[in-house]
Amino acid sequence: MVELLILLVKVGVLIGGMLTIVAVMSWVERRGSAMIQDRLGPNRVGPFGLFQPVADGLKFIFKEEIIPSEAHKFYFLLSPLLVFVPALTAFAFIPFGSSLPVLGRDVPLIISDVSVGMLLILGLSGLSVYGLVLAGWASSNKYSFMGGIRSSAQMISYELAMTLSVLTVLMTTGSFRLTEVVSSQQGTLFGFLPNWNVFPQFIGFCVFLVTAFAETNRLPFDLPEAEAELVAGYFTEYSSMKFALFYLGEYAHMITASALIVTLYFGGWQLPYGHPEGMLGGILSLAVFAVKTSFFLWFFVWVRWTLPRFRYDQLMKMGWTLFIPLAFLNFLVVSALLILGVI
Amino acid sequence: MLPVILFYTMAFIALLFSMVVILHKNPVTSAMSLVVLVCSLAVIFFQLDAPFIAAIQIVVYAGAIIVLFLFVIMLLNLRAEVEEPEDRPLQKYLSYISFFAFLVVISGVVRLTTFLPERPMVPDPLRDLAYSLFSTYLFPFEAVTVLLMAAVVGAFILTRKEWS
Repeated sequence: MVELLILLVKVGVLIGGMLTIVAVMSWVERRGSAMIQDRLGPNRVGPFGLFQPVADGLKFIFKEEIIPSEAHKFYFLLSPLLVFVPALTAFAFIPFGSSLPVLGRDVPLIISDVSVGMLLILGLSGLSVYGLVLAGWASSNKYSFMGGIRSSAQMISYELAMTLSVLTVLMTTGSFRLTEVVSSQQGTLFGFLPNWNVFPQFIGFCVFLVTAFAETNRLPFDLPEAEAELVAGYFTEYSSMKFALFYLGEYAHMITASALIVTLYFGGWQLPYGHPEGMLGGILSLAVFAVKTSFFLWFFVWVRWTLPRFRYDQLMKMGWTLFIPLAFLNFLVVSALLILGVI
Repeated sequence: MLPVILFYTMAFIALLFSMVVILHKNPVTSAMSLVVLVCSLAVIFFQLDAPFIAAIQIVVYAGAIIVLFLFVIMLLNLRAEVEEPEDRPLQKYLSYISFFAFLVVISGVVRLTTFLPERPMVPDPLRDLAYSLFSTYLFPFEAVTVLLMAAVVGAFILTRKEWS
């Protein structure tokens, strides 16, 4: 009974935390883009414009909801949820800290530590494509439809490279469990570098980072919404809270992707040179995880306002002829290093 | 008690949505029902201590194959099927007969199967799977990879327009 209660509290805190970070991120995105473009950005609501997300949220609630008369109503209403839910669910398998001693128990800071955690995350990221495809199709709008079709082709192409690059992390760990991926990155490499997967598997990390951009539909890979060509792509016809759900979904995907990058390649919640035990270690692990993840969240914003969008044929060509061979190269290099006993 | 409830719920969902897959007029609904079916089967596999197969169900079927189905359905712009006006009594009775024959075969197989008295607990099912794939079942495993490779090359040749 207590176990169930602890689980519910963890789930509640995590969902609440994620939604809060989404709100903060929408502010960071706008202020960050303003900084990069030498503007001020939203600075009227609250100090530094910090309450802008609250104002935006209120505005979304009071906007008129429009469902196109030609739309397939059931799928039109279902698809925003299909984008949002997998991103939240995938976080259940990512350890966001070591463990906290609460009420005489050691509570591990992960919701579900299943033996196939990484595979399930890949599966869930594959499921999120349904939301985009169905939204495009159900809107009965040619621009939405093009966006949906593009997203399915893009997701399938980049999923292959992503899975191949994750494979080497799982090989060095010997497990699909993300808690073991984190604990296998303890200690140092050659005596001075932290034993993070990013150093021996740098190619794999690069491939994973780029494919994570493609899977989250962020610029320079936001071809499914490409506002210069497709109005707004798959969510052209969406308004009010349903539009907000797509928006939330994109940021939730970003948070999950950043957390995954940190867990797979940057030692997860661990401090680089030895992590303390007990209560202090638990709190510290949360802080370390938050700092590392925020860096990659900022990186997502940074890249979005720095690089222009790819052309669609460039995107497809790059996915199949650059990233998949690179992922295979990484596979060969890491296998060789493993056999030689270097890592 | 909870596992039993979960099993029957998932089995019911699986049966219900497999009916929807074959009976529904709209191909998109059929494809999406297939996704629900695959996910409910994955939960059942989880209960049977086969987490790898459960995850693979979701990654391969729900994540890749059915997305491709949906892609094709949408590209061809398939509309909801129209009811066939003509009556075909012969086919109807043949389908009844084959349905009952299939039912007999299935129930016969279920009766003949000897179920294990208790699930053998494997400490690390993934490791066992990997070792048996690359030792006991190495030849069939490699044969399947060759077959898949042949299929890839075949698809490439079929879709290629001209030889340069």
